[in-house]
Amino acid sequence: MKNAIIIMQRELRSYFTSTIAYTVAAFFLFICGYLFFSVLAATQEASLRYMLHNAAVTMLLIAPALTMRLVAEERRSGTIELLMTAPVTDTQVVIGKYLGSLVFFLSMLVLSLQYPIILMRLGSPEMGPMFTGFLGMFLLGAAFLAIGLVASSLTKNQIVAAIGAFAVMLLLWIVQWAAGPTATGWLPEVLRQLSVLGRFDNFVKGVVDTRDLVFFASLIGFCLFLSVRALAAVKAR
Amino acid sequence: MIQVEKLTKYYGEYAAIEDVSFAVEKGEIVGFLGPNAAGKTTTMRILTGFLQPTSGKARVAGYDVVTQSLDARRRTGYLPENVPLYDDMTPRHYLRFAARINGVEGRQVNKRVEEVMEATGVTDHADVLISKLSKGYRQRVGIAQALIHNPDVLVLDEPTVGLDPNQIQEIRQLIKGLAGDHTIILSTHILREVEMLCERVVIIREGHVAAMDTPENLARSRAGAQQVKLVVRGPEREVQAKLAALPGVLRVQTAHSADGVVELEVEGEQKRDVRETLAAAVVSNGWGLQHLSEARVDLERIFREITLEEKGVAA
Repeated sequence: MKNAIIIMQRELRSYFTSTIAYTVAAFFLFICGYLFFSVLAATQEASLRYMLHNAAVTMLLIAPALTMRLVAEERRSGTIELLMTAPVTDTQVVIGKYLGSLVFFLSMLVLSLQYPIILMRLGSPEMGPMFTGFLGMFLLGAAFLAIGLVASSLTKNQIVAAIGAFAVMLLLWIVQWAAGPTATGWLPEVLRQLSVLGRFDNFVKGVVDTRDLVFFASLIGFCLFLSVRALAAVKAR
Repeated sequence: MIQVEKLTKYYGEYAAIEDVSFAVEKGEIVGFLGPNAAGKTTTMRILTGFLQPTSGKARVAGYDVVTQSLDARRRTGYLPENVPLYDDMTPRHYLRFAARINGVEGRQVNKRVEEVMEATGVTDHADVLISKLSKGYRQRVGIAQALIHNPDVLVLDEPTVGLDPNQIQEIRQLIKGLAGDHTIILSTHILREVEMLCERVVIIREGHVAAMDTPENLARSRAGAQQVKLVVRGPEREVQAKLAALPGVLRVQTAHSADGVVELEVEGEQKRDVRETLAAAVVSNGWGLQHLSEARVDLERIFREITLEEKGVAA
């Protein structure tokens, strides 16, 4: 774990000195602020439900932008050779990198906590759904960052990593469309189960379902496993 | 310290190295010599754990590089051909990171970083972004990184490539100073470098070990005889005749003769050093011995011969 933390710290240092990370954070907070203002002005409702529902779309852009560099850049520049010849395991490298992106994302999310605070000063919002809404946002982001990490582990090219991650995320976003609202049978059911958007919406509505938690946890676990395998493949090539 | 047995690495159908075996003793500096794409980097990458061999075994500091990889890596410092630097860090931060992932203890990290920066001469650029550093400084930071955890074994892939003559000189001095405490393998295609630094040479050609010996022995065995240059003040004919009759001397030739001073080229038997016999003979005959030396090892020629032979274009 110590080694993973060391690698995480380096990733964080790299985020906080990179223009991409600041651009992404500014973009996220600007969109959140815009949504917050326009939803509040239109509905006069002390709720973050519509804002969070819409702000989630930004994750499709944010996650690839934050993760594309993680492994791809190290493979391109050759610094991967430093990591893989140091006495650290592939798993520690993957976990360290993942935690780095997760902590940066979390710090962005913490900055967006200003909106619930503003609501609490202006009115009396329901605390439960606001809390679960942010939890949902965190889990969605965490899952997407894990997908982005897999994409970045598979190539030396950051652009390819970003586009690959975006494609997979978008597909998971809309995968239930193929099932339609009423179709029955195992395939439509599987497609509906895969939909990240439906699960995220449950959190925004204030519903914390264990199945949703398990879904996000297994998606993250599976992606980290794939990333470790991808790194090991660099060695065996 | 390093044992390599029948190491083989295939990339698909292509064998990068095949049945490579050699051993390096503790404290030795061994040079890896070979044309580009001969398999030097592949061998080094396997030794440092960056690549898995297809077959064969390699042990570093007593640990198998495949089955005990982490233990082997803990005791190995590695400078890859492409120096692995993070451009968005300063040398100081970079070396701290390198120290920590290589297991240097928390309280020792800063002290160790200062030490290696001092040894490699990067202290005055410690807080400049690595992206702004010149090639020479990047190379030094790379070597500092390889030294950071005071490893038993150092693997340096072309440590002086791309440097100017002054920098090359400095880096060579640095490497020379490291010998003894560390066991060093370095690859290069600069022959002078091997002669200056290495006690032994492994010549690799097309993925095979083509020759392995000290630079001097290599030259001698290839030439088939010891070459000695001699300058004697004395009568030319007599000198030549007397020396040619000495045991172990195969051939004596006058290269130049003027004013009673003869310059001779002597070939001696490969297995015995004839220099002392020659000196004794000259002195006991009452001639003046002005100069005696073994002819400089012409590694360049040897290298060309070894790496080109069997291709029908031997030099």
